[in-house]
Amino acid sequence: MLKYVIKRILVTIPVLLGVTFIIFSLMYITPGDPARMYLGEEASEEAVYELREEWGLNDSFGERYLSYMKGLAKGDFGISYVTGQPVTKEIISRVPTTAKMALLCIIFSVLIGVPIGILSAIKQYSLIDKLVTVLAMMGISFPTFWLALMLVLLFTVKLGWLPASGLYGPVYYILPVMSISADSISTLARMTRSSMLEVVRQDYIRTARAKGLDDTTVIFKHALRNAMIPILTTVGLQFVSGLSGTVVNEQIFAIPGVGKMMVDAIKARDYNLVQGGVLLIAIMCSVVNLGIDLLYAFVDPRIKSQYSKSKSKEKKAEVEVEA
Amino acid sequence: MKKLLSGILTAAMVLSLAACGGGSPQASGDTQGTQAGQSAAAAETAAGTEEIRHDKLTVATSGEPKNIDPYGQNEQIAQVPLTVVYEPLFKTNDDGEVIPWLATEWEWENDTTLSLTLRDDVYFHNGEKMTSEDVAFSLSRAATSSFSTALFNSIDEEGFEIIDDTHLKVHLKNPNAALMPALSIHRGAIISKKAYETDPEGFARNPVGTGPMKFVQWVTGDRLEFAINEDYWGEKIAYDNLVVRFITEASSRAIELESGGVDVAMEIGNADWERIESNPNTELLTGNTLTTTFLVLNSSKEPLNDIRVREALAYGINMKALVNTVWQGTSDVATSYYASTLLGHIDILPREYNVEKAKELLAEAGYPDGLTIKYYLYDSSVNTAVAEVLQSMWKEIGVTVDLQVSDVATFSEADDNGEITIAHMSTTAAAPDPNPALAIWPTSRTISLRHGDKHVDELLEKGMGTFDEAERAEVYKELQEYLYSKTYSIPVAYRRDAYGASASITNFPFYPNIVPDLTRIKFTK
Repeated sequence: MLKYVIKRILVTIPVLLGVTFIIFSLMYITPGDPARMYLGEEASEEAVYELREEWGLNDSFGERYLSYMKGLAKGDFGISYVTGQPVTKEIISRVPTTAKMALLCIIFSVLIGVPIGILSAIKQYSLIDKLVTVLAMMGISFPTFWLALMLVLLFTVKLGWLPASGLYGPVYYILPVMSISADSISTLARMTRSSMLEVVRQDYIRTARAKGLDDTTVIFKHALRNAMIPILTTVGLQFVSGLSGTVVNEQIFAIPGVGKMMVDAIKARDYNLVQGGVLLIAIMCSVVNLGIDLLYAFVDPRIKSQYSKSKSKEKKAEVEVEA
Repeated sequence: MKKLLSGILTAAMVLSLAACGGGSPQASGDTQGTQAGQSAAAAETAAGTEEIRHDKLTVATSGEPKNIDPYGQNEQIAQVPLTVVYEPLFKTNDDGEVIPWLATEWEWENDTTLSLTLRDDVYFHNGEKMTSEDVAFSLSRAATSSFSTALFNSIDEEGFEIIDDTHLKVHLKNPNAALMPALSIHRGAIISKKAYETDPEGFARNPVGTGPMKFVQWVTGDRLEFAINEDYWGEKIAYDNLVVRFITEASSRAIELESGGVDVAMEIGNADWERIESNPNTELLTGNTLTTTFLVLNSSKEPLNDIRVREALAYGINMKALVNTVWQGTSDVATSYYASTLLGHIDILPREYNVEKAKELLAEAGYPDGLTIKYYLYDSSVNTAVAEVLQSMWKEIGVTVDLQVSDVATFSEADDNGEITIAHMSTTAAAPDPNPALAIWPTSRTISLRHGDKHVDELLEKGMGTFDEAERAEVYKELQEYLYSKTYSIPVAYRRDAYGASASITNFPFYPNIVPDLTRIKFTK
């Protein structure tokens, strides 16, 4: 198992190198001049040229990439052109907010999405099932910004129960989490439903029922555990997308998150910040994916046995358990 | 209740006066000092009954500034919070007259020498006294900063004569009648030389000024915080803490204002004007700004190098219809090249809408069957709307618009490279004067218009060098007529703007440069 984890972490390194190269090249070929964006229209051509020189933007692609990578090797992500602050500082000031928000959203989505998915699967074609299907479709189709604004209008303007924007205490999280989660709740519910439906038709479920197990055991111990793999994959994807920030929501709720930082950085052609941000998101993606893969092993011993093929003893033991 | 209150206060006054008078003659100087201090404090409380103080004022701006160094940016979102930290040498009263502020007296010794007398009782937030050195240092930064070229580049950055701590002379490279208006807004803020030189990098995020509030902290992505400066030389500000929140979304700012989350919201979106206005708890402050939007006609490029084509395009626009469609009645048709409230403005526009004449001019210029012109557009709802209306209007005169859509950065690079042919842009007068209002016109400005017309430069210089108001107005009249005759640009709209405030806020007028002076705010409840 440990060997597998180490191997996966080592594989990440070339992936990250590839990411830096691709994002660096993309920013290089995109038109737009960070120095002009910083100085504005009033500045003279000389002033713009001098600033480009100061930031090393007049050098060739090779030179720039090399010096960026040299910096990276020393853990230096460079300076944000716009704020003049180190990129690491800019990112670190926003990651906790985004991570907290992503975590809350995924917990909220799992707690709601999975149970209603199960419910609608075991009561297939019932009224509840139809209701869940319709609501899930709506949850996916409503644009997040629209939902967010409607929630604000209802809970802040009409009822006056919740604050409209900012993050200055627990109550401030309610509206953003609700509006961001609508989509992932719906996706999770649909995924759980279809995955469960597939599993409950399997022979071993019939066997389980035939040998007289009660419904709860059948559903949670036999069906759900086997339906878990696609659900976990979806959870992982939703979590990663939450971690890379939700621009529209951050904008509406004035949340200092990673998403808006990235969009602003791209608009201003703040190369270092864009590169640092993408790299961070890539790292987070790798970590979450690794975590999900390890969870697979946890819920499904068959996969676990694949992770440690070399150790035949363990494998044997697991085969026995399975049998 | 009021009677009771005033009774108590009168009693307090009498008591404190008695305490003052009753001080024994043998008392040491120290005690006397304390007594005097106490009586002053009591008097202050008495006067304070008329003034309602708030613990906190929250302002929502439309975004996070890149820095809060007065000479490190030219963003409105940075200047609004800075009005409480920094002060200029002069301010203007509501009639637009220059009034003394950090400087008590000023005198033009000749066209290029301004002699200044400073207040003697002003201290920076770091405890240092404000002296001529700081003023010279601030103005030399103003002169060399590429963010304030249009306002201050006439100041000779090495031409300061420091006479003593409170007297200095400022020398100019060329006469500039627009300097006083520029020194009377917060763009000419006086910064602490010592604080800047101790940490030039950090200064951009740790302002040290002379204003009624001190900088406390900057929470990245979220807010700026300021607290009252107890040692302020002037009138005490009506609130103890200021929080400036960055709320990008216009509707969120309006909602925060309506729900009482913020006391002031900048840049209210047009869609929210009516709601803020009709709400009894909020007030909409609106007015004409110093912003003019215009179409760039790059006369250095084919086919716009032909004046007949430029004129044809101008005749082909029904300006009233365009402005009403795009701004829905929240902006006015431009009647000249800069805001109508400024010196020398004449009503010379809009040009008549004449499809026949436009077609004739195009035929004369060699395009009897019309032509295709590239139109550069960067992504914004206003720009897109203008382009769409123009596309259909110009179709009538046989001009096909080829839209080139991009983001701002790509657009500005194309502009730098001279690729822009036609584009809708806007310009804001940094100070209420025709000279900064015409900042896009000098040929030294190497982007956008590229008209290369030296006569424009001559007239601009003449306007800067003429100190007599009536004469100066004549010069700008001539310039506007000349620009009209050349059609290097087509002015489109005079922007109106609005900010919202809670109904309890008073003494907070609309500022045409949309940088309201937050220090003036008073409360009614």
